[in-house]
Amino acid sequence: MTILVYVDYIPDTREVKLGETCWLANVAEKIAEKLGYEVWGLVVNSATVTLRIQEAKIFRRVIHVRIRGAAEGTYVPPLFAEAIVEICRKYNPEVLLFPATYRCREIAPFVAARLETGIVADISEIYVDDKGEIVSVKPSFGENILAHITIPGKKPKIFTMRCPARATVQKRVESCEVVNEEFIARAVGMRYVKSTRIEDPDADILPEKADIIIGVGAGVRPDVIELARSVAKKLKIGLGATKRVTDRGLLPYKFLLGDSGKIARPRVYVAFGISGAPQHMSGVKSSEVIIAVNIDENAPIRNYADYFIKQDANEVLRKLAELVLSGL
Amino acid sequence: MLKIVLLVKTVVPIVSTVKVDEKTGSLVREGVPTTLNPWDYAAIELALELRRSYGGHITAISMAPPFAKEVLEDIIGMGVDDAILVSDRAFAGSDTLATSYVLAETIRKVVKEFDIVITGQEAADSVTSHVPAQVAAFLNVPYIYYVTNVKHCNVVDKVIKLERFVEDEGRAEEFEVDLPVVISVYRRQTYLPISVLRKISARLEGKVKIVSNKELQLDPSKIGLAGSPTRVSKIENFKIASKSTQFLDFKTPDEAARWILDLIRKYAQTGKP
Repeated sequence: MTILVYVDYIPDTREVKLGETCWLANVAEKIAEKLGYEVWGLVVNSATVTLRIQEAKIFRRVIHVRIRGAAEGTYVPPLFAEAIVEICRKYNPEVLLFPATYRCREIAPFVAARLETGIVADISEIYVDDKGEIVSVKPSFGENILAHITIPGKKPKIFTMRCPARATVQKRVESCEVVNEEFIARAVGMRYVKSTRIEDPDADILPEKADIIIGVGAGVRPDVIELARSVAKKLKIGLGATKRVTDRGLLPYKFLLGDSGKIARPRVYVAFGISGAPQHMSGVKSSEVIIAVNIDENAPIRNYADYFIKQDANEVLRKLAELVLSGL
Repeated sequence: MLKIVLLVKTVVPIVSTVKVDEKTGSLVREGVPTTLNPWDYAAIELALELRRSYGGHITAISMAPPFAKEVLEDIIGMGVDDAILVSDRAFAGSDTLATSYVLAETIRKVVKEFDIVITGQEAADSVTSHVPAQVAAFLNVPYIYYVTNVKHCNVVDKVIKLERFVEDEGRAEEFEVDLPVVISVYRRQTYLPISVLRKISARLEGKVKIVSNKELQLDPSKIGLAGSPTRVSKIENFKIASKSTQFLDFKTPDEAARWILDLIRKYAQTGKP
């Protein structure tokens, strides 16, 4: 009885999403220990990625399914999904785990539909209840509600899970065996033409993968928001914003955290001039430590904050910028 | 001429206002208004753009309780040709798989012929992104997510050239796909409030067709709760882990800034807050 962990990678460069893979391996291992299952990896159509995964010693066994008729480094969602379906039909795993990356959120639901099984998206947690049933926890409605969802009596139970990008594997295995499989592609009426990297000068301060984020809200003046951006750049930490800030065009939407933006899971969130409206806090409230800098000590953010600093956020950010940018 | 199907969803406008009734353990939806899923605007926008460039017909479809008719009428007001509201108690309790099945069967049995099915990237309330891939699986057609641009569409040979953006990888990809296809549209960084810009049709009578399982005749074991492999065993409000807020009384902004910087640096070095 196995849990299959799908190994996601960037097709064009074969760059493995190692942090996500390790995170899922750790999560799967915990379930497997309880239920007496084994954890295997699954790589679709890349010998390069398979070798890297084998060297990383995360799984005792990795299935590599080559797609005959599709070159390594190309990517066609229904083809990848069909290859995974074939493997599931052959190996009949109990659970199929995907990281909730853009790519996996695209292929996982197709696999579920083909196998007529259940799928839960973007889960934050997974556990075994006292009846031995696997339960997933899905934050819903802007992270306000936690739904505990099961897929009783179905195989495989499919989940996509949000993973931090920088996890490492807890129990390294001694060696990893590769099982080679082949899937003969049927015509899916779809051709991969090319892939291009879009250079984003802000890639280093995007909030979604950051461990530390500084956030700015309506209480921060436009010139000080620019300073916050420089501070983030210099310290190599994430930058976040509330909807007010992005709606006013003071920062691009890629920095928006909350309901209509991104959900970040930083470990430290420093909120400058942010009142703490639920539609913003939904994007950051799972942060381990929240520090609020706000002149209004009754702002709702005090309910979320571990530390509350009653100061003008503009003044503190200005000072912070002075310290950071002068290199003190 | 393109036959375009738009799949839309109604959601609550500010999703974080929805709460669980602690006594009954169910969602409090009473008095919570619904509106069009914000990410669906980008899908409507693309559908209108395609019709402008290549001609054709746009049918919007939503599976929802009867109140969603108004939202479909709004979409017709934006320029969509007509709409189908798929509504029946038999569909209640459907998870994404059962919903996708009903939508795919509605396309197959009621719309019949189609070239492109367009959806938003995800619904703002449930945030699953399941429906486009699953509808494609049931219809047995190719699909692609996060589309940013249709570069070219050959309506004679029925081939479309698409660009999409994989946000978390920062990569743009290009595909050539034979129609029909299911696409979901990247929730662009900005979207135009088209409801304001394109008030085209004010005549709504008879433009929203209501379809129930009488017309669709779907096997009860494949729809509603019975057709849904997932079960919600429990729902609860997210609770902030009972925090005791510490109020730090710094005399000057400088002191506060130094404390914050120390904390950030300490974390960056030790990995611990």
